[in-house]
Order: sequence, then structure tokens, then C-alpha cells
Amino acid sequence: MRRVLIANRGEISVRIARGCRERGLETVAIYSDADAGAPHVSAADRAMRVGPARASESYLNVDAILRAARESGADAIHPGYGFLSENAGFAEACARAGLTFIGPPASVIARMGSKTAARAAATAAGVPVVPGAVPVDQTPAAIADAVRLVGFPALIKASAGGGGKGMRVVRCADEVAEAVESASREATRAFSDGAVYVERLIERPRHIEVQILGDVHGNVVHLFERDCSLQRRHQKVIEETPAPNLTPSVRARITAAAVAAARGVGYVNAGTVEFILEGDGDAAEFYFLEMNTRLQVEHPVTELVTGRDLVHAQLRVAEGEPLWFTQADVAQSGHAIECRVYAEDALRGLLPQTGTLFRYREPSGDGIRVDSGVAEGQLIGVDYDPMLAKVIVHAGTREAALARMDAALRDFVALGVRHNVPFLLKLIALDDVRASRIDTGLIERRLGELAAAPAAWLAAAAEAVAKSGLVHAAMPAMRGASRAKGRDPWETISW
Amino acid sequence: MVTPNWIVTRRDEGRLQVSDGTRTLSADAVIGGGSAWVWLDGQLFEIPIERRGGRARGGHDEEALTPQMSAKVIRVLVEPGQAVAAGDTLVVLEAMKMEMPIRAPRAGTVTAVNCAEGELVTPDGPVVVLSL
Repeated sequence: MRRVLIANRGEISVRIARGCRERGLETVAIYSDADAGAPHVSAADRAMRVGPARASESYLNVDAILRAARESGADAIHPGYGFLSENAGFAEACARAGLTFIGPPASVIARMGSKTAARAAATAAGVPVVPGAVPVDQTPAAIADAVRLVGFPALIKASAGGGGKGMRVVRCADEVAEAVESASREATRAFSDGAVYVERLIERPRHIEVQILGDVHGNVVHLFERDCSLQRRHQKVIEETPAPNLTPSVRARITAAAVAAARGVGYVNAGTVEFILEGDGDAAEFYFLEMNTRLQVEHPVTELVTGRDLVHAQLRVAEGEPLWFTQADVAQSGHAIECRVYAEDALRGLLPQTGTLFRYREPSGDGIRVDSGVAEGQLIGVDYDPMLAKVIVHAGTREAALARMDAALRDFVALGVRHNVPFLLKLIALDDVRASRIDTGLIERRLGELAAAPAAWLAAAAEAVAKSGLVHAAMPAMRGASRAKGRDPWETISW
Repeated sequence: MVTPNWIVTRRDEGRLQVSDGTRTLSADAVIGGGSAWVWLDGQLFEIPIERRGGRARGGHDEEALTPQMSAKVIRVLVEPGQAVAAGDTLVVLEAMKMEMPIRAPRAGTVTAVNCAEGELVTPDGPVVVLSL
């Protein structure tokens, strides 16, 4: 490998380019028309245009990306996350074009991409999945038998289901008959298919995932877990490692299960095995959820706590190198937390926001890392994911890491587009977060507090600042960017 | 309630200090896009500012049509001076892969079209103004 094309954009493209440069590899960025002036373009040694703003015609355009690789003389492709990273067809097309795909083999991506095949693979490797049963026939008696087999509380779900339709929770035997009947009736109405199946209901689940790394010689190690329970609408907001309150015995079991799942499918390169965790202490149970066959957004927390650079590792594995360390060499040191900064307004239902970054300044200092793909003057549009940056902190303890995160976020100045930093600050200050009482439903339950408007006295102080006459106008370089918004900040301002 | 008197001073380039005698906070602020953006005590404020020569909008005989969220303009179907009927689609926006038409709430005449195809629009300003 000599020259790597990074088939992505934004912060992850910038981060991969840095990793490649540190390994002495040349880099090629790709960009759409919307990203022509974006930081990830200048972060690489050269850049190739792959199409218009629409992702389907640019960052998802396999033909254009392969052409860019050929024309730039790249011999390898790093897919990043999202876009084509878990597309088996793309991995295969890279191989056919004689390019090294920096990730697992296409066959593994395809297998893990199917929920049922992934579940079967996990089961075959002896990894627990959420207990479930498909009734032998759909008579009320057979369904009731399935419920008893799975145990309480159970969830009766429509086979054809989605969106919570045809779903019933049963907590004891008395509730079964009525729940079966109403779930089936609702499923028939919604999907013209009354068939149901039964799954154990996981209450207050935590999302725990394990970072794994495999080489082409059959070696697989884990780099411990991450807790990603702070989510909303299935989107992760804060990730941390080590997972709070995970006992050594559960940690040993869950990491061993992840390695077994990875070995079972012949996993190569960096990947993540996701689990849901239920219960506390040594009695906590975990179940396989899915496997992500790529670098994760939240990989930096693992890097800070294990001291292992995952992009370097991906590149070395892709070059065929056997793993250069053993499981015994991997240890967790301190505590790391990542906050994802999104251009989303908590006061407006967390809807994506657009605007020009009239002022942008990232926090820095000991134990603070910011991975970003934006710069001052940039227009934040609607074409892609609204993530602006990731703020990652590392400290000796979780408490110290939370304090460091609080200070770092307060020092994160992004003016010109509404974002979720105020929301993140309130989230890390929540009593339940401080006390490590976190689960995937926490944000939804506390949304009222998290999305509260600022206090009136603070708003009055902000108003005084705005009207002080001491506030400067944005830099002239941003004039073009703001015109795209249909406005001109250079109209004279008067009070 | 007595409104506290906030005194604002400059600390360094771009950074300000605001104090009411008991509390002293540092603030980052910039003017852009017709607003003052203020970062203060972990909270973000976007405060619209008046602009000289700014056109008054949304009078009682006017209706300013503003999008619900930031979006991209994919079609502009009217031009100033054009008469429209209630329910006519004036502009089609797209955000998060969904199309959202902006329709005339009542019959009237288009007095301003503040957007063009391909541009981004935000909830902060009207995309079309109708006189009724």
C-alpha cells in the first residue's frame, strides 16, 4: 500500500488522513460539489471530485469513486463509517479493481449485514442472543407456550411488524391470552398478516459494545468495551469507556463473547460487536445485537484508554501484518468520554439546523481531543449528517473525565448555527449520568429538562452583550457562504 | 422585579465580559446573518438585530411564509406580482430527504420571493411574502 483513497467526508476523512500520513502513506480525498472547500479536502495530499451534493451521486457513487481511485493512482480504499463502509458490493468491487479494501472481506460484511444471518452466526459461536421463540403454529395455545418458554416479561411482536404496531408486553401468565389476541388483531389490520413471535422484553437496557481487531492470520483480540447507552432515537450521543459499573466478571464474559463471535465469522480488521445488557452486578446478562464491520464513530474513546491507534491498526492489518500485540498487552487506563456535537436545536425538537459558522473555536488542552471536519466560515448544509465534531476527553477517573468534558464543552465556541452543546452540558450534569444510572431510555425520559430554555436572567445578559455595540461582525471571507443562505451580513447594522 | 443592569466590557478580540455587579461571565459573540450570536455560560443565543434599510415584513395585510425548519429549495413556482389562489404551491423545499411544499394559506399576490432554487433557507426569515 502506497496511496489510500478515503471514500468519505467530514471528521472521519480528516482523521483517517492523519493516520495514513503518520504511517507514511499518501492520501486522496473525495468530495461532492457541496464540500469543495471543506477541511477534509485540504487534509489529504490530493482530492478528487466525485459528483454533486446528493450523496447517492457522490459519496455513494461506486463507479465515480473507483474512477477517482484509478485516476489518482490509489492502491487502497478506506471507507470510513456510514456511506459505503458496510456495503459488501463495494468491498467486492474494490477487490475486482485490484484495490485493497481496508476492512473485512466482502463475505463477512454481507453475512453480518443480515440480521438473521448475524443472529445465527452469533448463536453458532455460543454467544447469547435475546431469548425468543417462533410459535410452531399460530394458535393461541402455541403462542402461550412460546411465551412461557421465553419467560416474563415478554414481548409479543408482529412478524411483519414495525413501528410498534402489533406489539404487546406481557408480565404474567394471566395477561397472555388477551395480549396474543389483540397483538394478532392489530397485526392483521396493519400488515394483513396476523403472525406473531415472542421475545424477552429487556427493561432499561444498556448498550455495551466491544471493539475487536483481527488479522488475516486468524488472530483476534478485543480492545475492551464502550458504553453507548446515552442515545436518542437510536442515535448515540455520548459514549464512554470503561462502561460504568461493569463488574470484572461480566467484562471478561462479554469481551470473550465478542472475540468468539468475531472468530466464528473469520473476522479481519477492526470491528465492533454490539450487545444489550440487562441487570446489575455479576448477575447482569448480555445479548448479541449486531456486528458493525467498520471503524466506529466512537473509536477515539477506545484509543485514549488503550493507547492503541485504531486507524494505524486497520492499515497494518490491511497490509497483511500479523497482530503485533497480544490480548495480555491490552489494558484500560483511566476513563474516556466522547460527546457528539450535532447541528441540532434541542429547543426545536432536535431538528437539524443550517447556517454559516461565523466563529468556530475548538477546546484544547491536556486530555482533550477534538475530531472535526468543519472550520470557521463553513456553510453547514442539509445534504449530510449534521455532526460537526466529536469532543473526546481522557482523565484518571470518570468523575474527572466528566469535569474535563464540562470545561471543554463550555470552551467550544461555534456561532452561526444552532447546535446541541447546551444539551450535552445539561446531559453530563444530570444526576443519573453523574451516578452512572444510564440506560437507552434515559434521554427520552429526561428530555423536558434537557431541552429547557435558558434562564431569563441569562437571556437578559446575552441580550445586553448583543446590544453592547462591542460585538464584531463576521470575517469578510464568510460573505460568499452567507449569501447562499439568502442573506448578507454586510448590510450596515444599526441599533 | 428590578431588571439587573448588565455591564458589558471587552476582554480581548471577540471575547466579552458581562457583569451585573454580583455575577461576572465571559461571553463569545459575533454578528452574522442578521443576528448576534452569543455563547454565554454554556448556552447559545441567536438574537435578531435590526438592519438599516431593512424592509418591514409581515404587516397586517401581508403574510410572510416561513419554513418550519432549515431546508433546501428545490423548486420555486411563483414570481413577484403573480396572483395565487389559496392552497397553491409556491415553493418546494427538501430536508432530511423529504419534500415539503410551502402553500398559499389564502388567495393573494406574491410581493417578494426571498429564495432561489438550490439555496438553503432557515426558519429565521420568510421565503415568500404575499399581500392579501
